[in-house]
Amino acid sequence: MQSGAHLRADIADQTGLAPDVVDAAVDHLLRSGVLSAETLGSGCPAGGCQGCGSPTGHGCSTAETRTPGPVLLTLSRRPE
Amino acid sequence: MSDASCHSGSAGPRAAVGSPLIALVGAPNVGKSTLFNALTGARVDVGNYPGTTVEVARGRWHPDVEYDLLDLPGAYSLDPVSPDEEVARDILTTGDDRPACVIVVADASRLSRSLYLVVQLLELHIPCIVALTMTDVAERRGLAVDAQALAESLGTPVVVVDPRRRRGMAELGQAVGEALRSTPDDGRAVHRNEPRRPSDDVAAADRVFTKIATAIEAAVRQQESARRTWSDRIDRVALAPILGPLVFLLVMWAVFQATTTIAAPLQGWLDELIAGPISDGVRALFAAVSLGGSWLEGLIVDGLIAGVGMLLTFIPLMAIMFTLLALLEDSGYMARAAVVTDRAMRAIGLPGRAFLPLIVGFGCNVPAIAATRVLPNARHRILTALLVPFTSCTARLTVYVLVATIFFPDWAGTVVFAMYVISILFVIVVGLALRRTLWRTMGSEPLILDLPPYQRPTVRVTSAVMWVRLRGFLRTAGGIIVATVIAVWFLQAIPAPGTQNAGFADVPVQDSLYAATARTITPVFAPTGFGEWETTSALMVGFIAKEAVVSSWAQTYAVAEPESPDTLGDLGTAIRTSFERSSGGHVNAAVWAFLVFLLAYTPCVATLAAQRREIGMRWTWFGVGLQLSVAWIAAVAIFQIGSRLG
Repeated sequence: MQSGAHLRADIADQTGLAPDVVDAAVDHLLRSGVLSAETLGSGCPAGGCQGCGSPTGHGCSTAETRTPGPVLLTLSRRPE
Repeated sequence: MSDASCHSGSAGPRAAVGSPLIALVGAPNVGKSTLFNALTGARVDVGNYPGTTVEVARGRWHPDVEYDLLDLPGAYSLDPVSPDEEVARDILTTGDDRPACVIVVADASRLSRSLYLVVQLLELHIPCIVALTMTDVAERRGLAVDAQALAESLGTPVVVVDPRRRRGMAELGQAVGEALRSTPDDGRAVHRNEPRRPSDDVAAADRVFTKIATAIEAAVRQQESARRTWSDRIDRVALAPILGPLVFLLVMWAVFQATTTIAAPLQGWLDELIAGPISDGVRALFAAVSLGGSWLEGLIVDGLIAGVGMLLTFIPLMAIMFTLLALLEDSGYMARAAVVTDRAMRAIGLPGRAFLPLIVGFGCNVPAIAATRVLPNARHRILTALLVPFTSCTARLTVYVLVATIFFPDWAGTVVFAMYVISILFVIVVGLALRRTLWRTMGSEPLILDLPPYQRPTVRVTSAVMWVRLRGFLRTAGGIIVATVIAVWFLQAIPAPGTQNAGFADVPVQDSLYAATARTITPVFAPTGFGEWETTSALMVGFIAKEAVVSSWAQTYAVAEPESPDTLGDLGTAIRTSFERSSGGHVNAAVWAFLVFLLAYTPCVATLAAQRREIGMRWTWFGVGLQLSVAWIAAVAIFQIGSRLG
């Protein structure tokens, strides 16, 4: 991740690990809290319309209209 | 777990006292309970583990020797994150009545997830056997698991079972018997449930996954044809380092081209409707109530109808564009665009998560500034917040389309697309300049992006997304644009100081306070090729809100006298005439200079307010200076160079 790989397929290619192993490792880090997941919707910041500074809510999508976006996995705590 | 603590559920024969205790464990949804039922005949006792509400089933398994079989709750590892996993860990590793042998049920189609628990048990010298399920699912996915190779790599028996068809049950019984015969009673380590540091967790996981990777490499083969789904195949192009961005640009060009081409006749029809029957009808109404020629008629017809009406002609264009973008989003393609953008950001040393606010900025800069909150580093937030104004928001789109349609009618879509490419270039160049001057040392944040699979867009979601965004556009028109239109009308109705023989709402627009104010800044734009007050006044209004640029232009030329009786007084002709005058004949260069200035200068006061909230007043003023400087320098360069090139 720190060397720039940021898709699971990239991690598999760079490490030589099987995709299944990468999936299991990432899921394990998610479960143990080392990684945190955040689903990115379209159009609006993570806080949805609550996080929007626009007084009209211009361009915001509601939960019902949310289109599939990437899930961002970031380090919640760095390994020491 | 003693017999006294079990609450009998359905009646089932108990294993004889002293029967070896065998535990069945595994991750959720691997077929554990199906195997348990197959082994025990589903005649079991179910009870709560002491002190918990977690149910543990117990039954008699009699392959050749009688065993006391426990069906433990689903668990991925011995490091619990739930009460179920705590119970499983406690039963397996603590107390004197721990199971003599553990059967770990592993899903062959997702083997790595199942092996974590196996490796942990083996590290504690707890005898375990791997019961491999779902081999048919693995086969359909093109996975071939060699049970013998897996057993050799792990150092523990592996038995392929099919609980539904009751295959492998006898082999499993044999393996358990052999394991029990070969295991010394005192050979097991005791798992200490001590508090662990986060570094211990990662170090342990690293150790375990190294063994898992070795085992997978030794025992699992995947057919090349089955390795990739059709989403993967599309992503080979969509996410390719060079081809991916080119595909993205091509897709966006197609969106803009289709939008402008389809919307053009609809816009023309709406423009004629508003400027013609609607305006004429309202004038007739005013005349009917003896208010013809009054200031009120001027406000309504030349102000609101001309101003707001002009913006409403963009409804077809916005609806079509929002629909096409919603289709791309719902299909999952725009998630790939996020990856492409992220890679570009990283390649030039910008923060990894910066792509999110920047992508939002192409819709509206205000929520994009707010979105910088997702960046944990303060310097990342400031840098990204300073770059957001250079992303071309939807409000600027109306001006691009108007200008492109007037000056480049056959290339309107391409011109609009070019503006978005220039916007990206501005973000990159300004970002690099800031990065290498103000923030030389700035780390990047490691992150992973999980992409959704491609899917067929649905009419429901696409139309809902389009309507939500179009509604936002209309609300803006009904809000700030109406207010701006009224304000502009008043300024155009007030005579400039020193104007003779003119009263309120009875002054030529060129002699109004509005024109006089615009003229104070017009000399600054002389080297840009669009140094006429009519044009700079629109930019002045655009500082308030970009949506109002088109409206203010329409108001200015609606009240202006035509150049001659033969001159059509329509907006396009009036704007063209102004640019021809100010550019000295170098119209194209002046138009591009204008478009670039519009792109780069301050988006709107709402963006400034958002910046002030997120990065403070000092950085906001810095940003304003940066935007105006970059915009003016770029506009001057484009016109001066472009006019010399002919």
